Amino acid sequence: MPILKTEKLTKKFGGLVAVKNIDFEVNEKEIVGIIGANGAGKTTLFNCISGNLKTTSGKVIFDNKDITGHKPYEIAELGLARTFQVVRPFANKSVLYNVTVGAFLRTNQKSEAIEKAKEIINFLNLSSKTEVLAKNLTLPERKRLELARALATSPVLLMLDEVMAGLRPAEIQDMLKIIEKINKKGIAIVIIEHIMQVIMSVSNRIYCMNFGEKIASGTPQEITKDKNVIKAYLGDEYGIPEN
Amino acid sequence: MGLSKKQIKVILLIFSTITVFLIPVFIKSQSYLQIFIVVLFFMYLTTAWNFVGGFAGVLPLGHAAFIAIGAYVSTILFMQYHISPWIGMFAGGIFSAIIGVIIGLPTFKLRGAYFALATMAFAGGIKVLIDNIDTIGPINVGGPRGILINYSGNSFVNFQWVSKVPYYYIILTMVIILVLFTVFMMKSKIGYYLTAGGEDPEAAASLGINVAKYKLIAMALSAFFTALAGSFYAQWILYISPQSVGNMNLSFEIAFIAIIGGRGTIIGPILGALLLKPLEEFTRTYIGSALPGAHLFILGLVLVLVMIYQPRGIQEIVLKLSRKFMKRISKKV
Amino acid sequence: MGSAILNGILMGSIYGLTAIGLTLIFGVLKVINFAQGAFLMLGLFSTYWFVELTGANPYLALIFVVPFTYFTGYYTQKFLIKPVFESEKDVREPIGVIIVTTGIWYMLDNLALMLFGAEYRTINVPSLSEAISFFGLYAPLSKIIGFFISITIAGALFWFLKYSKMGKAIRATSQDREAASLMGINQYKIYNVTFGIGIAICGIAGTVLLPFYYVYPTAGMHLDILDFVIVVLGGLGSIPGALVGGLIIGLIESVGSQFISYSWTIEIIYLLFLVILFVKPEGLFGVKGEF
Repeated sequence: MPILKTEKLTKKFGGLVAVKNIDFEVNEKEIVGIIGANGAGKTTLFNCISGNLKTTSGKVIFDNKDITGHKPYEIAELGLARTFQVVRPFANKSVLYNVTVGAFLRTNQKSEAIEKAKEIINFLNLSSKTEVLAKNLTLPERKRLELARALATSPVLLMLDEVMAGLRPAEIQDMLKIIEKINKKGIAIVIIEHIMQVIMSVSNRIYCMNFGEKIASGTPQEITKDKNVIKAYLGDEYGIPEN
Repeated sequence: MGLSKKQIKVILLIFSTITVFLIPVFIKSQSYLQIFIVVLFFMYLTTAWNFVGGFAGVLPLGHAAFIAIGAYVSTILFMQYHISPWIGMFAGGIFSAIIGVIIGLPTFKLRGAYFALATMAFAGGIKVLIDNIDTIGPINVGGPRGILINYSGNSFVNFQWVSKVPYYYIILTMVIILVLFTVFMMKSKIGYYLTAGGEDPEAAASLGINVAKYKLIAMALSAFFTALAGSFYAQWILYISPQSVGNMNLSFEIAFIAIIGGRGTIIGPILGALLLKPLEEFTRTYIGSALPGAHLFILGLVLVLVMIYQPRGIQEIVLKLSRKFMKRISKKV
Repeated sequence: MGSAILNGILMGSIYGLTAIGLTLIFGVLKVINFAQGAFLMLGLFSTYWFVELTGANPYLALIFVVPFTYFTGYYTQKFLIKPVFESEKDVREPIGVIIVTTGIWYMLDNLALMLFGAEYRTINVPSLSEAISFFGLYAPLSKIIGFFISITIAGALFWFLKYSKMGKAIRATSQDREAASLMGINQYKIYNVTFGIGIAICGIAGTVLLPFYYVYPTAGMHLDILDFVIVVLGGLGSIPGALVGGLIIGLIESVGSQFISYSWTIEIIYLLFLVILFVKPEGLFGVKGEF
C-alpha cells in the first residue's frame, strides 16, 4: 500500500519546467531512491512534496490525505520528515538541544522530549557529542545530526536529500548502515543521491529523473539495464552492453 | 576543601539578591533611588523586548507604542472610571497583546527589514494619533498636552506613594517575575521552538514547527509585559504624554540596550541596562548641559562598535570574565 | 487647489530624490539604510555651512556637498557596515546591518546636536523664495529648481547604471553577488561606491531642500520615515518606483493639508504605509532583480 503518492506533479519556475508530470509512489517500509544528474529536478520534487515549494499542478497524497499546498510544518506533523541538502543545524545550540527540538513535535513534556532525543542520539552513534555545539561538529557528524533531528519527529516517511554527498567512502558505509537500521524500525525512506552505487545497494526501487521528467522506474537491476537511464545518466561510465 | 562552582554561584546569587533588596535601606536620597528605579525599569523593558527582538529573531523598533498603550489604558481607566491602576495595568496589557498580534500577523511573513519598518511606522502612527486626539467620545485623551494623574497621597489601591521606595520594590518584583518567567519559558517547548524558528525558520518548519505562531506568541507576551511597564511608569511619574511614553527614541533605546547587552540571551538585556543606563544618566547629568545629545551619541557609538567587534553582545565578555573569576575563587576558597 | 497639486508634485520629486539613494542602496546591498535621514541632515548642514561661510549661491554648494557626502558614504560602508555585513553573510535574516545603520543614525544626529545645538537654522535667499508662475500656477522658485535638479539626477543615475562601466558592474552585483564576483568584480568595492552614490544623492537632496527648509539635528527624521514609505510604496530597489512613490507622498501631503491639519496627513501616510506592508509589500514597481 503506498504511503506517499504524487499524481502528475508539475512545478514551473517562470518558463522553466523543473518537474513535469511526475507520478511517484512509496510503499510502507520501503526504501526508494531517486537518481538523476544535477538539475534533473530531484530536490524540486522533494520541496514540492514537503511543502517548501508551491506546486504548479498535480497532487501529493500522503497517508491517504491530499497534502498538496499544505505548509511544511503541517506536513511534518503528519509524519513526513525531511533533511536538507545543505545541512542546517541550529549552529549555536548543542546536539541534544537540536534533537530535542525535533522530539518536541510529539510531546509537550521536556523530560520526555530529552529522553527521546538521547535515545535517538545513541541510535545514531552520536552520544559522545551530546553536549557539543552543532557548529563544532565535523561534516559527517552534522549530517547525522540532521538525520537525528528529523528522526526525532517520529516520522512514518523520511526523505533524505543527498545525505551522502561530501562523505568519504568509509563514512558512506556507516551512513548506509544507519539508513538500513532506520528502515528496520518500519520507517519508509526516500533518498536522493547522485552517487549511483550508493543508492543501488540500499534501495528496493529506484526512480530516474532527467530534465524534470521521470524516465524510468523499477528495481535496481531493472534500472541499470534501462536504455533511457543508460543514455541519459549512466552514459559510458557504467558501460552496460546492450543486448 | 574548595567550594564547587555551583555553590559559589548560589552564594553570589543570594548575596546580590540581598543587596538589591537592601538598596532602599541604605540609599536615602530620592534622586539616587530614582536612578535605580530607572535602571530596573529599563531592565524590565529590554527583557520584555528580547522575547521578540532576541528569541524570535526579528527586530522590533516600536515598543514605545506598547508602553504608551499600557500607560494610557490604565490612566484613562483610573482618571475617568476610578478603576484601580492595578486592574488597569492588566487591561492595558491584554489590549496591548491583542494589538501586538494584529501587527505581527501580516509582518512575520515578510523579510526582517519589513518587520522593523512596520513596527516603527506603527509606533509612529500611534504617537501621531494620540498627538491629534483630545477626546474620543467621552474619553479625555489629552492630545499633545498629555494627562496629569490626580495625586491623592499614599494608597495601595491607587498605586500611589509619596516615597519612591514602594516604586522601587514594585519594579524590582516585576523584573524578578519577568526574568523567572523568561527562564522558565526558554526551558520549555515554547522556548525551544522560538529559538529554532529564530535561528532558521525553514529548518524549524521541517521539524513541524509553526514558526509564525510561535513568533506571534512571543509578540503577544512581549507586548503584554511591556504595557505593564507603561502603567507602572504612569503611576510612578504621575504624568504621561505622547512625547514621554510614545517617543521613537524610547523604542530605539530599548532595542539598543538589549542588543548591546546581547539579544537572544537572558542575561544580555539585564546587563545592558545595568551598564548603560547609569552611564547614560551620568553623561546626561554631568555633560548633558554642555553637550546635549552626548549620551545618545555614546549609545550609538557603543552600538556600532558592539555590532562590529562583539555581535553577540557584551554578555559574552562579561561571562568570560566571570568564569575566570570563578575559577580563581574556587581555587582559593 | 491647482497650486497645491503643483507644490505636491514639486515637493514629491524632491522626496523622490531622497528616496532614490535609499532604494539604490537596497537594490545593491539588500540593506535598508536606516541612517538615510541622518545623511540628509548632513547634506542640509554642509550646504548651510557652505553658504554661511562663503556667502555663495546655495546651489554652488554642490561642488562641496557632493564629494563630501560621497566619501562619507563610501567610508561609512567600508569601515562600519562591511565588517557586519561580512560576518552575517550566511545568516538567513540579517538584521545586524540594520542595527549598525541605526547606530550611525544616532551618532550623526547627536553629533550635530553636540556641535551645532538644537536651534532651527535656515538660509535666507529672497530671490529663491519668490513665487513664480509655472504653467499658470504659482510656486516658489527654489522648489521649481529643486524639481528640475531631482529629475536631472534621477535621469543621470539611470543613464549611469545603464551605460557606464561602473554602472553595469553595480547592476551585475545587484542581480547576483556570486556571479559578479566570479566575473572579477570586487563586490565590496561596488558596495562602497554604491553607498557613496546613495549618500551623495542624499547630500544633493539636502542642498535642494535647504532654500525652503530648516536644518536642525533631527531634520532628517521626518524625511527618514517618509523615505521608507516612499520606497516601500514604489517597491524596494526600484528607482522609477522611488520617484513615483515620492510624487504620491508629496501630493498626499500638500493636497491633504488643504483639507485637514498637517499632522493628520502624516497619520494618513503612516496608515498608507502599514496598508502597503500588509497588502502589497512588494510595492508598485517591486519586481525581483529590477532596478
